[in-house]
Amino acid sequence: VNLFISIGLPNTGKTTFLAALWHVLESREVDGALWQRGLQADREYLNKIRDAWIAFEQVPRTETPVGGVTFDLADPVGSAAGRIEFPDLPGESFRSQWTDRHWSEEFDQRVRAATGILLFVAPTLHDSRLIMEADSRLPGSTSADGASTTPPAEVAWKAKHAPTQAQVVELLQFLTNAREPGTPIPLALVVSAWDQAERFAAYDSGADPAPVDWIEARMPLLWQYLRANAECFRWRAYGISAQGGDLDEEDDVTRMQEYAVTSHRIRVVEADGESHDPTRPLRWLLECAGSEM
Amino acid sequence: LQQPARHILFTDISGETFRDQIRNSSSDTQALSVLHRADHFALLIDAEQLSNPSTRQRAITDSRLILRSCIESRMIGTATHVEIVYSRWDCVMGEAAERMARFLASFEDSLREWEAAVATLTFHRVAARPTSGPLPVGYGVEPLLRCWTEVSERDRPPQPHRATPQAADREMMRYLWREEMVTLPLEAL
Repeated sequence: VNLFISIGLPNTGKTTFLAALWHVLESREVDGALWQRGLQADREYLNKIRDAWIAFEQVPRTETPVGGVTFDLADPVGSAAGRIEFPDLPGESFRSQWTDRHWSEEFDQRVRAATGILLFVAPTLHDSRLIMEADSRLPGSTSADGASTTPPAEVAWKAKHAPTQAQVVELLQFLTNAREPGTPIPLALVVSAWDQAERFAAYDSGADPAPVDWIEARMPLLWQYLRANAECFRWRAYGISAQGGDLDEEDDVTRMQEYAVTSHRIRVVEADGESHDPTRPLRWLLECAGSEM
Repeated sequence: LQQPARHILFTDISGETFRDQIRNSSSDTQALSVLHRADHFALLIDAEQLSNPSTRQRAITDSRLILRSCIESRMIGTATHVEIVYSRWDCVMGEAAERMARFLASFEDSLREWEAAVATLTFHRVAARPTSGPLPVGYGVEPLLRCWTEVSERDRPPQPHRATPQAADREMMRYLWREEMVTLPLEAL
């Protein structure tokens, strides 16, 4: 059994990804994707989150069953590909790891036993201010157009106000501290809501970036940390739009409703191409787990 | 009226049972023991839901999962005829039916993988009591009823069970196999 743990701050799309993943695994709608060999005995949680996903609603916040969910996977020709456990923990539990520097005994055991990690970051949550931009935010400074800036109201600092990247990197450092040194763990880095990431990137540079380039440009601390810690992490970046569009945009929803194959609303972008297959990160993690690291 | 009278026992199980139990739980599916004896399993799908873009994908997905749950829980199998019945077909006549055609084609294709797991898999369009359009009352009901009354795997002679002995089986465990060897015609061995 391969144990994959999904990590991400609140609202980074972990549960939406799981809903889309369950749909693809169960429906076998996507050619070449992994699929679920036999139905789980209890599917209530998975169906509940899929109900929301398939109805173009926000997927409800996580109320995961104890022990998470398990998938018994087969490759496209039907051979066993692996069995994975996927604890879908709420983002608040990861936020509290950062703010309180505490995690549960159960999570500690999972971290030690994990054979792969899915790390979720969301472009919508990411505060991309750079140090060079800090001056313009100081009281009495002037903005680029020459106007005086209004000093922001003073807010007492709390740990949760720390930059997103700092929190994410610290979560990864917690992991490396808990695990046996010497063997890098495979990490699939998922930029969720990829359609929005592309919109932001197009606004900045007018080009569609590869996910790894987006990480380098928008989350440089995380990118540098992963590059500098190759002995701890073997990683690959994915841009995934599990919803397939903006649910607040009527045009997006109408477009997605017209797909004859429901799974075709999903977008998975990698350095070398694009598909509708959210099992791609799992397949890579399984390959890594089965190979010499 | 040219055939002898047939008795048909219909179950009327609530939709909630299928949505909340069969769809979600294998043990709940196995608890619905009447499925095991069913000659026919008619899965009704509301065509009006199929015609609505905001509900059609769920209607298709739920129906497929219900069927899969019943098959994988071994509650229906090669002795069961499965009919996918699109009810209220009068709601999707004309242009709506044309728009829906590719959804249904994709859905029906996705069900074909279970064709070998059941006796037959057929699709029916029904409008029992049309409220508008050109369809007559009872549209599509007669062929469905004929199918239910005339086709049953259990009416056929039972097929011999072909148990293959395992190397580790004790002699007593091979009893059934030896009996079959005796009763089967030579060319079947």
